[in-house]
Amino acid sequence: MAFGATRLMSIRKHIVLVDEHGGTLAGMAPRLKELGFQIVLISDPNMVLDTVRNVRKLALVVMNGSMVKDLANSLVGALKGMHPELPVLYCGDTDAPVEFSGPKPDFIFVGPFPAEKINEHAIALLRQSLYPQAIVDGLRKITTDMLTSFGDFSVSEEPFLKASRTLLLPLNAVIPVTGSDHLAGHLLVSGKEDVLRSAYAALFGNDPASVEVLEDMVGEIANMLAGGIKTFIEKKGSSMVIGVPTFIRGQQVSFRRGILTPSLTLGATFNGKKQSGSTGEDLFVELYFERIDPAIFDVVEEAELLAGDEMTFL
Amino acid sequence: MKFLVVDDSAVMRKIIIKALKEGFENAEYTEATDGMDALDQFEPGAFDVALVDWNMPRMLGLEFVKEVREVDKKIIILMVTTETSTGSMDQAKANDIDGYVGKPFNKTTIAAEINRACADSAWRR
Repeated sequence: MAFGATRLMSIRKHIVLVDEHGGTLAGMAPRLKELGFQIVLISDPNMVLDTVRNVRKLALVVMNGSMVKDLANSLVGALKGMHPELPVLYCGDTDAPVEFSGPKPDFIFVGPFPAEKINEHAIALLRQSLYPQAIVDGLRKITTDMLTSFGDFSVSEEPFLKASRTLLLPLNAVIPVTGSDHLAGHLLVSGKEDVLRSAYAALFGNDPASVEVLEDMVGEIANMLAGGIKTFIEKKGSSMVIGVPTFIRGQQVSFRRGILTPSLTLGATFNGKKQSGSTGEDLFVELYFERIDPAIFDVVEEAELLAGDEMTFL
Repeated sequence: MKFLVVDDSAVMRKIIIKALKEGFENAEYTEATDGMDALDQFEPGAFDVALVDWNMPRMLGLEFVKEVREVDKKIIILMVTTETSTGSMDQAKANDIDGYVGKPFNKTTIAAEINRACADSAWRR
């Protein structure tokens, strides 16, 4: 998929599902809605272009390949003509595969079509579209280096998209990041109190005096992660300004209703001296780009992120 | 070597001090929670090196540096911050700082930057 467009990516929340028979792709909707996307289901392929013209902030089009070949061909061509950067997922028919003569879908999925399988590809396309692979790799590298310097953290291999603004864990620090007209977003770090307490004790050899110290720790993790992202962006020839952290205590509450972009979220677990009863992910790093110029990530010079740099304090 | 560590984050001060303890034998350190607190504790000639955060409440790092440079030309001052843009670095140089440690950093880079600044300073002063 090309990311050379200079148009800024911004909030893109709608997914169009094109399915003459309704049922197959409609089965994708619940999972995509869970992620915070809004679904537009179209049963008449002739209505697709009008719909795409009228629906703002489109994130993805998924087409069921049961429609006639010529229509599928012209539809994909017209969609790509209107929005070259709009990802299109085509669910092809094994009996009658479509040969695309013009612009091709970004991914062709050949049946059978259980909704959850199609969703895996849809979510992968959404992630690539909203967060180019370079920033995915960069965030994982920065987070891994940073967290392992704070303790025995293991960072998940694959980040996931999270659209809701619900805070996942109780201790949170949010840092705004901006970069003139090409970048705007937030970095959020969430952690469990018992796990942060263990990590603090392992790092400094004594227990933290209060929960405020743990908030401070989350804030510094966020600040240093933001510093790593800033270095990454600057290596790409762009600039970034890091704001002041805001601390939020609470879980399962919404931290900011105004932001709609799904975040790129990485989970991590803490293994050193882990408190009993602590389950699931112990810390989350969420990167929200409400606005990003994807051309930033086209720069490959010096793209190797912090290569050879170690960030160990131990 | 006597260090003054100025940062509003207690955790960051601990991280810096941990790096100093491991990087320098007989390191002595004093902590300050912001520029104002650092000025209260500052006496000309009392410290060899000051490690100063940029953004802090009450008094910014650079304001502290300006005050200190009025009375102590010898102390080695390093900014420890995420403010690594060219504009910020130019601003810092104009205030006669000796070095810059960008966050994130590691114990090796912070010790190396202190040693480099000490060597340059000995040559210059």
